[in-house]
Parts: sequence; structure tokens; C-alpha cells
Amino acid sequence: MRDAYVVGAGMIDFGELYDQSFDDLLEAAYLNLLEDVDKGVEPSDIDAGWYGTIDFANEGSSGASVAHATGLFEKPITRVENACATGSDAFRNASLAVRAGEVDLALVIGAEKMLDDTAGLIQGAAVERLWRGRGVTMPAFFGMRATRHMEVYGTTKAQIAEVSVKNHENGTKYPHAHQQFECTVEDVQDSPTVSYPLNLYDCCPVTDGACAVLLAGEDVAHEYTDEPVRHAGWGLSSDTFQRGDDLALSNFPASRHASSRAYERSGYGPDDVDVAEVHDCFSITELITYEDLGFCGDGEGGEFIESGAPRLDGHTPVNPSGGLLSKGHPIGATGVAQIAEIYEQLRDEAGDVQVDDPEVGLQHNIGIGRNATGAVSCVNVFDRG
Amino acid sequence: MVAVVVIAGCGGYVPLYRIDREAIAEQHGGRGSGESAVPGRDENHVTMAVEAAELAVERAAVDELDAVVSASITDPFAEHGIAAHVAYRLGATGEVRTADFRASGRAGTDALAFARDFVRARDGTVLVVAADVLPVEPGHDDEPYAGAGAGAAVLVPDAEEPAATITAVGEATTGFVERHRLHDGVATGGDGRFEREAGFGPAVSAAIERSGVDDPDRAVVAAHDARMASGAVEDASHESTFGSVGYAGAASYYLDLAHCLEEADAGESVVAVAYGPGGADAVALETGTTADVGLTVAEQLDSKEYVTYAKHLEYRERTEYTGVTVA
Amino acid sequence: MSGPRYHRPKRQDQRLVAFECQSCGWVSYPERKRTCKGCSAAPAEYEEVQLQERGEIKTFVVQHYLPDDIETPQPVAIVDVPQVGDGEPARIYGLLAESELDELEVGREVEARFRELFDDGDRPINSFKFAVPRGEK
Ligand SMILES: [Zn+2]
Repeated sequence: MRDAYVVGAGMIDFGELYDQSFDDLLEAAYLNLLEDVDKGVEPSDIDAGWYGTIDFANEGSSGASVAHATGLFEKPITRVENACATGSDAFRNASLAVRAGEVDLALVIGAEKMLDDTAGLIQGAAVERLWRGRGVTMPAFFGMRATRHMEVYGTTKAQIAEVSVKNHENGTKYPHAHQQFECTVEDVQDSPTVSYPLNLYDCCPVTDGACAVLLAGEDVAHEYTDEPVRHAGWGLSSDTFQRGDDLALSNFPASRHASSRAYERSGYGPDDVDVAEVHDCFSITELITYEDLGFCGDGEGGEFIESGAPRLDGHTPVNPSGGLLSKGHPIGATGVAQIAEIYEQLRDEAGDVQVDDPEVGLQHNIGIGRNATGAVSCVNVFDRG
Repeated sequence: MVAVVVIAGCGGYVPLYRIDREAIAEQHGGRGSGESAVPGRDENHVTMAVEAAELAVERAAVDELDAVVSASITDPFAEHGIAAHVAYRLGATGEVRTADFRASGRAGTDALAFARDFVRARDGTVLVVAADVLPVEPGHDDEPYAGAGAGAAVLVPDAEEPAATITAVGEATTGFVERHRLHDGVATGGDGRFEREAGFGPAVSAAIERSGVDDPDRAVVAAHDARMASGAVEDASHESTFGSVGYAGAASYYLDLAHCLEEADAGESVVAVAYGPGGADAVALETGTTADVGLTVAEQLDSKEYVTYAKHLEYRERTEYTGVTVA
Repeated sequence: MSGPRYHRPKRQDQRLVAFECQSCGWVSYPERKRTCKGCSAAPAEYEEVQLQERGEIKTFVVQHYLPDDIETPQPVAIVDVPQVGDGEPARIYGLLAESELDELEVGREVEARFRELFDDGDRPINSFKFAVPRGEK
């Protein structure tokens, strides 16, 4: 089987995009992508598309919506939905088709309109009707891991807040980030309690956004750029705390399964990762992801952030883009945007957030589903090919 | 036919929350003493009834129920009931009689008398449970005394260590109906002195006389007016939760009865009276031993949290029930 | 309490009936399943078990932003609810009633309390919440 390469990325500025419709977001990301490809690309070269969205806005958005927004008719375009791993799983599916040789050039596009109906975020809570009254929301699902992590490992609220401080600092240097402000540990701790032990600045904002990347088979990749980025490994896994494993109360075993598969496929390990874009829907999520991805040992996430290792100039820079905490989390776009950032990093094009000469990059999502009792994780590993 | 019916176990349920009657007085003037029980926002007639019913069943140590009977004067549902829900929760489905008594403060003894007759006729085990949340109208004279709670008793033909033995039931239907209340309003009582002389007095004394009780050690008299009730049985120790729960409708009778049986020594004589529109009943009892299971009414009265005046209004208001008119 | 959505899990919701996998011992609640999350048996053989009306807090949060029909702050926990008799506990979400942040900690014993979870139109949907034991209040 041949390898698949990223040959272009089109990011839009994330934010409160009240003046843009769902289709406008798709169109903007697509146009930016076409613009971004080093040697140019003709729309007619694109063989197929994978579209990541959870259709939060409930507009019945399907593969055909991408055709409408891009003009790419008569081509197979498939919508992928997999909770917070939606964008990264859309990418993974596209890559598999490219590797199989069925598709030479694949569009991966993710978009989410989060702000057309704000009531949905709390009311929906991704919870089936029977469970909705049980009052379990996103901050609760992740906050419970924070409580458990603090209890079992002695992690402190200040250490958790440090993640938010780091990512907001990075976000001010990343032009596409929704929130452009720095904060201190005190600011985080003084912000309103959303769901004890998480405060407002421990939580990512509600953000509209879209992003697109282009995947090419290794034999055609150089027609589009001289610096393609290789999709070196991937893993996708799900889990639920209901299975009874105590680790699932403080961490995400799904992230461990997905990353070990991705490491195994790529031949890299956690020590080889030079830059990572990981899922920080909440500050605690990134802290426990350090452990789940093997950047540090179990229970050492608090020390890891305190040591400065995940900072831009640290040993393993994590979320140079500012992460979801400052960039925002338009769900279907999130994973694709992380991949776009890794693409830039591995090409030394990341501007003010460029880390020092990275060879290997990792992208990670952890999402919730199934009445918030379950988790799904997708991990993709990249290198300079 | 079974001659004697015993209460195998009984129990009360008082919600955690209380409103200090002074807090109500502060809103509307006047003075207040004592407190009234306020249900949690997530409590309803069925959940409170289940709390009391589970305790009574556990104390009674019975395995199966042949009938579940409820009493309530504030159940918001015209159709829906309480008894069937409690029966399901307790696993008492199948060949099980249910009945819901309502419409008078006397509903508690209506249910008890029915249960006693059922036990005698069918040699069965009957759970009687009462639950009420009295509606309030801000500023209304009754507001400080609007209570909430539940109580239950399990009646059987015989038990090794009954909580009490029912020796007689004295009934007095007078047809005197002065107090009345629409589903969406608070009660209209009329002249208290008139009610005491023309309604309460004749009904209660007739019922007590018919119960055959003479000079009881303890008395329970459940009525919407505590002052009226307190003088009804001379020389007996009067057991009442009115000062700390308020008037909890049909549930007051069972709360007071449970409290009385929990406090009494074995072998005491008790008369337990309920008065409401239409008449009164007096149940004559001889106390036994209440099993040391769960929390007593006294312990629940001590276990409390005070709520603000606003919460007292909000918590009583059911989404499907317009019993509260917030001005 | 009816309508098919609420009727199906009514025994679990109101009587704390759970289901134990006979090959691995994993306990399913409130779902009534034919496959097993513990050992992936399919079909798995399940037997009904009765849960106790108490549990242990494994972790918790106190939520401050919820739909209007839920009172805040609203604590919610993951609770291990033991069976009556031997066997594994069921690990479930439990809303906590009448419990404040300073009363909560991992490992705390809570008792099951029958409460109104929410309403379906006019009708209350009653099931179990958990609370710091009333006797300790
Ligand atoms: Zn199994």
C-alpha cells in the first residue's frame, strides 16, 4: 500500500462568525485550501471528499452540502460523525481510501456552526432524552476526571489551570485563534465556577469554524508541493467508564488504545513526538492526555505542565496553536484544524508559534458520546515523509 | 373474619427543608413561631409517599402486600393517583387492591378504616400511605402553617411484635363542611369559633366516644387548626408535629401517629383522631414496640435545613399544579 | 410514568434491578443488554440482580450551569452501587440530592433516594438519586 500525504491546508479565523452561514464556512475553508497548495490545484483534480461535522446546527448537513459549498458535484463526498473526533476521523477515512489507491486526491473538510442556537449546547448536552434529566453535561464529564485525578494523584487546581495559561499565551500568537488574551493561574481560579472543579477559563469557548486539508497518494503528492507531510500512523478507539476500569475515571483509556495503535503503525513512540496538537476542550483534558499519550507517566501530568515541557520552547510542545481553549472548538472542524497546524509545523511555516525544527507531529482528539458515559479517541501521527 | 387488626409497622417522612415562620412574618407582617416543612424541588407526592412507605414496610418486616391505599388532599392529579405508583415501586403488583382517598382532612382515617376492614375481610396485609404538600398563597393567613410530609402504616391481622393494636374505630360523619379548597387555590375556612363549636367539637367527641377510649395516655388529633386540635382530648399527652411541620393534610395524621408510637412505651393507650370536612374518626390503639429501623420522626425533625422565603414558594410549586399564586 | 421510553427501563429506574453477565460478572445498569461491555460476549447470558439502595462516590462535580428545569448548583457523581449479595457493583451516574460541595468526597458513602428526575409534560419521572445519608445531616 502507498502512503498518504497532506499537500495543503486551508484554515479560517475561528470565532463568533455571526455573519457567515454554515455553507459560508465550508466555502471559505475550501477557497483558503486551494490558495494554500504550493503548486496549485484544479478542483477537477479532487477525486472525493470526506466531510466532518456533527451538524450541531441541525441543518441536515450532509456530503451534498459540501458539493453545494464547493461546486464539487458528481464526486463521492461522505459525511463522517464521531463526536469530538469527527474531523480527525474524517481525515483518517480519507487517508485509508488514498492508501488503498482508490482515490488520488482527497478533500477533507470539517465545519461546525455552534453559535446559531446557543440553547443547544446545554440543552442537548449530547445526551439521549432518557438521560438528559440526569443532568450530565460536558463540563461534568471532564470535571469528574479532574476531581478523581486530584484525589488519586494529588494533582492541584493550579496545575490544571497552568494548561489554560499556556494555551492562552500560545493563542495570542496564533492568528486564527478565537480568543486572543493571556491569563494567569489566578485569573483562571477567579473565573466563575462552571462545574466544580472547573472554572470558566478551564473551558474552551463556543466557536464557529471550518478547516480543510488535501490528501494525496505518495506517487502524486509532489505534483502539489515539494514539502508534503506524511500521514505516518493512526488509531481510533472507544471506551466507557461503565466497564468498571478505575483508570477510566481519571484518564481516557480510549486515548491510550488509539495512540498505541498510532505509535505502532508509525514506528514512533511518545519520545519521538516533537510537536502535538491535542484535545483540550477543558484544561484537565490536556493534562491527562499527557499521560494517555505517554508524554509522562500516570499521575505525572501535573508535574509535566509545571516543568514547562509542553510549552512552545519545552521538550514536547503541546498545542502551539493555543489549543481548543483559545482557538475554539467547532467540533467537526477541530480535528482538521489540528492537522492543518501540524502540517504547518512540520513545514516550518507556523510563524510565531513555530517549534524548533520538528520531525514528527501528533494530533489527538478525545470525544464523548453515549450519554456521556463513553469516550472516543482518534490519534494521527505525521512526519516529513 | 379477623377480629383484631394490628399495625405491624409505621413510619413518617419529613422533608429536609424548613421555613421559619418568622421568615414568613417578615414578609407579610405579624409574628411567627415554629416552622413548617418544605419539600425539595425534586420531591413530589409519590416520592414522599415512597419514603414513608419503605420505612413502614421495613419496620413491619412483611414480604408481600395485598393492598396499597393512599390518602392525600393535595395530589395535583385528577387522574394518575398515588397508590399504584407506590405499589409498583414496592413490587406490589398483580393481585393487589389499590385505592386513593382524598377530599377531606379525614382522608387519612378513611384510608385506615378501609384498610382495617380489608384486613378483617380478606386476612391480608395492607399498606396505608399518606402524602401532602399544602399549597400556599403569599400573605394568606394559612401560609406559615402549610406543611409537607408523608406517613405510612402497615396493617396485618397479627404480628409477633406489633407497633400497635387497633382496638376500635369510632366514626362520626356529621356532614358539617365549612372548610373548602379548589384545586388551584388555598382553603377558605370561615369563622374558626363557629367551626370549633358546630363542626369540630361534636364530630370529635362523638368519634372518641364511639371508639370506646377512656382516659388515654396519649392523643393524636390531626386537623388544619392546631389550637382547635390541642384541647380535644383532656389529660392525655398530645402528640403533634404541627409546630415543626405545619399542617400536612392527611399526612399529618400518620406523621403524628408514627411520632406517638415511636415515643410511647409498650402498653400505653392512644386515641388517634382525624378531623376534616364531613366529620371525624377516632382510632383506639394500644401501643406495642416500634422496630428500631430508620429515622424516627423526632430525628427527622432535628435533621433540617432552613430555606429562604423565596425557596419556600418555589419548592412547593409543581410544574403541573397551579396551587401557588405568586403575586 | 409511561410512554415507551420511560416504560422500558421502569424496573431499573424504580426498583434498582440490574443485570449481571454470567461469564464475567460485569453488571449492566440501567441498560438491559444482550451483549457484554465487560467481556464482549454476544449473546451474553444475563441474570437479574438487585442493587442496594446505597453506593460509594468514585468521583463527582458540582454543576452550576444547567437547563432551567434542573436546580443549580447540582452535584453529580459516578457511583458504585453494590449488589445485594456478592458480585461486582454497577457503576452509574447519580445525581446528588440535598448534598453540598463540602459534604462530598471521593469514597463517600451515599444513600439512594427516590426522587423526581424530571417531568415528561405534566408527569413526573421518578427514579433514584443519591444523597449524603439523612441521619448525618
Ligand atoms: Zn461479560
